[in-house]
Amino acid sequence: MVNFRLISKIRGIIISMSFLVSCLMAPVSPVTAHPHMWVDLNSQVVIGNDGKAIAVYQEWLFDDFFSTALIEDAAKHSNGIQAGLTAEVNIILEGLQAYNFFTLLTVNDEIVPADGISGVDVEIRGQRVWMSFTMQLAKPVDIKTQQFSYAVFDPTYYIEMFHLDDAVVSFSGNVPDGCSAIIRQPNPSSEAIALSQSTTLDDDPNQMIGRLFAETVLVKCQ
Amino acid sequence: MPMRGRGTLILFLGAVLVIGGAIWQSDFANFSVSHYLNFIQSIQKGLHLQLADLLRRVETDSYGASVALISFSFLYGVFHAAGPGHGKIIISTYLLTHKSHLARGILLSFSSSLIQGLTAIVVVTASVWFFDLSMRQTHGVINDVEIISFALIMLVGFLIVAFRLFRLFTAARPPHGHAHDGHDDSHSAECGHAHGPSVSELQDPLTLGSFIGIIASIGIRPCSGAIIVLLLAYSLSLQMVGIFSVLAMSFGTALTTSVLATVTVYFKAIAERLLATRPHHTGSLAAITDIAAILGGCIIFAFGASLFYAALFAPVHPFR
Repeated sequence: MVNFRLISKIRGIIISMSFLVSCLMAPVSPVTAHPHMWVDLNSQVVIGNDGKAIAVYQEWLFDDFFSTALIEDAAKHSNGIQAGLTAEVNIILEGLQAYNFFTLLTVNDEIVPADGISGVDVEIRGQRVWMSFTMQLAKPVDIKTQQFSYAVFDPTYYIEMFHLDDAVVSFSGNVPDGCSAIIRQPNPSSEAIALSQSTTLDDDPNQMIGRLFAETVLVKCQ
Repeated sequence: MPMRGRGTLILFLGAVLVIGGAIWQSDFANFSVSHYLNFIQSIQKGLHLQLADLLRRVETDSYGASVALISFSFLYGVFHAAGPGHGKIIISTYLLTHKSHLARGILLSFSSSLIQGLTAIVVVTASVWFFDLSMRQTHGVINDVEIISFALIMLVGFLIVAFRLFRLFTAARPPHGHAHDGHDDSHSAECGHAHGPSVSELQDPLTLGSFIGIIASIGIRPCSGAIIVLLLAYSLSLQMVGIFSVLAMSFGTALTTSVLATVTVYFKAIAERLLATRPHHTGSLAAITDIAAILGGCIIFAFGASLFYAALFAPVHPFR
């Protein structure tokens, strides 16, 4: 004789399980990511002789916790702390290459590539490690006619990277008249919607969480 | 046993899950969750950075800075646990799907938070003192320890399901044909055989094994904020201060997790009272209990599995 009670039990279990697992799997990974490291940013738009943007200059000031750990490792270097810091930072920048140094450059809402970085400098300020570099744009951007913007963020949202509250993004070089840069704060609702409809960004879910909470620097010319 | 009543209950559960899932994925949910996380995050960030500042000040102004450090650590624990993590999904899933009392929920919350604090202290002390690892190397050790914790969560979920299924299959009753007039099913005397588990069997006590399993799987994953503060304290030779800071953090996370456990238990009690207004036989109550327990085990397993695989196959982050 067939045991109907057992069959109905199993049927109920299987139906409920499949609903639940499908609801569960998607949102879990973003929820577990949140910052445990902080970087204070300072940036500058570098303008070339022809008035076009050719590079983005960036300064990263690491938090006390990470800086202490970095300095501890740097101090072990045979040529002293400064040499140690340079060595450590170069290793970090090598690892950042795959992430385009956490920088997303866009011209007219399309992602544009960078052409590597140069001029890496590192020193200790207070108890914190300060690093700077200049990121070359692959192609110069005419900021008078094109919409140039960039965002510096960790896509996995392990690190939170913000300009200081009173920071102003300035220009260096032959800047055209009437141009300024504003820092737009993250607005998760509109970003979430825009991202989900964007055709230019990756479908990589990990790319999205850091982007949702990132600042965007917008260059505007009259 | 009315099959129709059973079918509608399952359909109802299924509908709740589908609607819940749709709401979860909606823009409104994304917006609310993002803003809530943002808020918690900003408070937590402020507290965390203050802790670094206070640790450095302990050397010169030991009493004042220490008191501030302990209080801020406690607050940090409270807010940190309000964000994602700290075993809240595991504890609330377990409480929702098993027989639960308030005391059990609070006990689970406090124990797992305390174990998390102790794990942080033990791992950092061992790494820094015995193995002479650097701060960043210790971070690497913690990442490996985390993967073990995720595997343990999977094991706990799996065992919950396995034990429940084992009990189900070994207790399967032979079918019978006589009608039920609504009499109490658990009396053997009238029908000559039992119709379902007795009331005492439904009590479902928290076994020592389940308890240890849950708090171990949560506790072995130390709070990352605690690790960072402890490492800085050790590098400044302020070991005792660091340890007390972590213990204060653990009490903070215990408090927040307990609040969630309390809310979970009351929510479940209300839901149970609503369900109790429908006439049912002890047999269907037993079936709901079994389904709920198995569902809970599946959720916990799926949660652990997604964490485990994400950690195992995560691309190397340049700063971790």
